[in-house]
Amino acid sequence: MTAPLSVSLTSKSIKTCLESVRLKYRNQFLFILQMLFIAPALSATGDGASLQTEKLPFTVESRKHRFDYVPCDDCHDGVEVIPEVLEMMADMDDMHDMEVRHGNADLQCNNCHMLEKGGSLHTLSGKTVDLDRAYRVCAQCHSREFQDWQYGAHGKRMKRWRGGRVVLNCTGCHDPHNETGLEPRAPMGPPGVRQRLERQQHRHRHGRKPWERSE
Amino acid sequence: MSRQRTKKDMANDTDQSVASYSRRKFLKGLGTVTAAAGCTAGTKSAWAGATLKDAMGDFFQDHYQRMTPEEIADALARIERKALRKFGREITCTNTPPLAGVVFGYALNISKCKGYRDCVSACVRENNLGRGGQMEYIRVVELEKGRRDLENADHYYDHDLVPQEGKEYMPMQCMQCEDPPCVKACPVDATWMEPDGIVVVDYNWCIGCRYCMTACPYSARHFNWSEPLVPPDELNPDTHYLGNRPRMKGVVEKCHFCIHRTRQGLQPACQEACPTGARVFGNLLDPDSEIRYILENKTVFRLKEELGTEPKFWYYTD
Repeated sequence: MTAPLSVSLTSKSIKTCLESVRLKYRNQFLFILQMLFIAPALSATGDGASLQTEKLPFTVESRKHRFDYVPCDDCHDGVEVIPEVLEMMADMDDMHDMEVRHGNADLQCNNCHMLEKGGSLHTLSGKTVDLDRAYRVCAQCHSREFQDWQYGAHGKRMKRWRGGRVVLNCTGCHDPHNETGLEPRAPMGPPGVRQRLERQQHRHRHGRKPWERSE
Repeated sequence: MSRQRTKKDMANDTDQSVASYSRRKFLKGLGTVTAAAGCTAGTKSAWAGATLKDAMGDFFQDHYQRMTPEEIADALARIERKALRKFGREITCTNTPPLAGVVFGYALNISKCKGYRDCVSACVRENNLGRGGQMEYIRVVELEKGRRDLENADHYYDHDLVPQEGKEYMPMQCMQCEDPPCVKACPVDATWMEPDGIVVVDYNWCIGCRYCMTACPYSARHFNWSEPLVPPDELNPDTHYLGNRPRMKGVVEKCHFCIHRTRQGLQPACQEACPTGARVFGNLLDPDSEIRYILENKTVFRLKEELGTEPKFWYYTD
């Protein structure tokens, strides 16, 4: 009699135990699932060497030519700064006034930039990324935005709707250093009063409706 | 007339003077016809700034869909001549046919729109719309954030800076309905849907009854109450017969998805002008197009969808 009872008890306790474990570790379990299945997908889209980014159906607008101080290794020797350059740069140091607020200000310049190779970018796994392919670096964390951008739901499209499409890079709108997008500004003018109704608008302002009979 | 004139008398006088004026004008016009028919060159100011030949050509011009290619070529040449005479500018007017296998659709990300109204001004310039508040194809309305309460929307907002805190912005224009009520309302078939899904107007055939305007649930159609005033140096010389060619007083017009641009693969002017990238334009029949990705993967809605007009203009959010 006792043996089957104990068996049933143990099976019951195992069940409850499993249940509590399931509840307790559900989040962790989901996380493991994510790591197993979703993370490889993310890294496939996010990593610099991804295949998907290689066949973008559009060209990304080049911004490299706009940068003035790109070659970091002109001044930096490794992390050390060449002293002569430091003197030279004393009164034109706007490059280094930059405040990095990206990622709760936890990120440093070299999280994305390389000192060598003309200040180009690198992925977390250390692969070099051209400045014009900044989207690969951004995609490592912002995978949803990257996917939308890649397929057309995010980002500024230029010129043509088919044939030779051009799309702005992430950095075309977003400043990656300060997490700023487009600044608020004044809108273009509101719709005007229709021609020849200006006087009626004037009367309207003085209390009489346009449809009211004038005496 | 020495006695005190009553209001009724004055009204009668006015009626008579209108009648006699129009009769006089008619006789004068008739006289000019005979005179001009006798002369080789037309007078400069008569015929609304056109030559007699062009005025007659316009008068006897057939419906766009019934015209032969030669007649269309004549009509296009007339439009170009009239623009040269009116604006002093050489323009090209084309009738680029619809692209095969293309139905245009539009998607707009309202979580990205910031209410700059850049699309509106680009549209006005691109489509030779009358300046001075005559009309604008696109209206950007300002709404309370999170409440799509169009009755209390404001499209006259004029803040120093946009976007304002707690507001969202929603541009509205012609939805290019797949079952367009405006087309059904037109008594003379001056408006129809092209094979690429764009609802167009033959301005020469329009009689200006404005039935289509009352039929449109989106207030997307606009009437030329007066001659559209376009500064000659701002005239867009790249025009299309069914699109942005110079219009006349007394006809209805509407957004045509920049037919002269989009049929050549270019973006509509509003999309090109939008700095936020909120606007997406593309071919609904192409499964790889951007707009199809949005329709399949985003939360989309259409304005007044319950009316069953099947708009081809979707709004979506991130």
